[in-house]
Amino acid sequence: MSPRRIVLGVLLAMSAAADACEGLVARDGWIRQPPPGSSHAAGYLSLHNEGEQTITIESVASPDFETAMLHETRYSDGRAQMRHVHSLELAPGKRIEARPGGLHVMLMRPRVELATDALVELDITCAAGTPLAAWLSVRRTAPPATATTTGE
Amino acid sequence: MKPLRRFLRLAVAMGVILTAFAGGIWLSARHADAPVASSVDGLLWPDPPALQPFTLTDAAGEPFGLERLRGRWTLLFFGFTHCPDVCPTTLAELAAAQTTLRDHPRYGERGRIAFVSVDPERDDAATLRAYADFFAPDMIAATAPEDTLRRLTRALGVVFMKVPQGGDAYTMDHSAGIFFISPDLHLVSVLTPPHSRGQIVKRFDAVSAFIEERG
Repeated sequence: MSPRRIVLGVLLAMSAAADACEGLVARDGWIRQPPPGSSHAAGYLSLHNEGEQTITIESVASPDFETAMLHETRYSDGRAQMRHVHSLELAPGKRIEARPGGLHVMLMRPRVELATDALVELDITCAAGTPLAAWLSVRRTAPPATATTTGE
Repeated sequence: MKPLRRFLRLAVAMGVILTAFAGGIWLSARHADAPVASSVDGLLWPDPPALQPFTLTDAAGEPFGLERLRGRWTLLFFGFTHCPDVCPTTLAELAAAQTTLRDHPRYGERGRIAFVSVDPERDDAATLRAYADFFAPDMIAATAPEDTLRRLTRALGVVFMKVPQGGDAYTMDHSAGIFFISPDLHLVSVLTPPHSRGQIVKRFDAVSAFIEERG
């Protein structure tokens, strides 16, 4: 493991204890490496409220992309529609999985090279707080345990 | 000689009856093994729509139409390269399914994934080539001006529309099913999203077994 990844791992561990978004833990973050020519990527992660207060995620941003937004893919009559999710509420104990084909972080116009295994930063802003930093690793394929939202 | 002629005529008639009877048994036995249409999930039967002639432009800048699909199974998907979630997810699952299907006797080496972009404004030939190569180098990728696309999509019941996202930005809502096109150019099944490689392989196996047995 490279020193950079160790440092980032420590940062990730520390991020869980940050006082902004208190109780919010982001795990298993990854981003599908976008195909050449595509300036749009989707990031996925697991969000868990391990605290005792309801958490409201109001926005996301990334220094590694020009634009980041929470989006959701919805299906209606076999048609895929992608819509902005303006805020996300997590009651105490609630876990929300952002997965392919459902909730995801829409990431547009990367500022860094998205090589396989690179880590990109995602800053999650909760109501009236400083952002929680989460890290997403760039992957060519989905992690083995990841299913699409309602697929097999 | 009259009795002999009568005997011969009777023997021929008996032969014909016996042959027909044996043939009937053989046919009914054959059909007893064949799947029943209602047992095949998502099968468009008994009237699978025939594809109508169309001409798109592929990632090499060459015309792409019905003739490229004749004689092979095609897994057809509509999308666009600026699509962050559904399209790369589906194409990755399709590519993984195709790796398995290469060993399938009905898909084999001739089978193809075809990706049709509903965003001709941003998806030129070079963009499509790089995009398709990322998933499966033998994937067909093509698009056309909107009017031409509509002729193909309308016939298949596919819809797509531009959705503004502020400024110049836009996304596309689009049908995200996987369309199974038979070697004789009929749309025989549509697999609705979300997709997984296992579902794609299973649907192909069931649908292609039925079509090649009865079609």
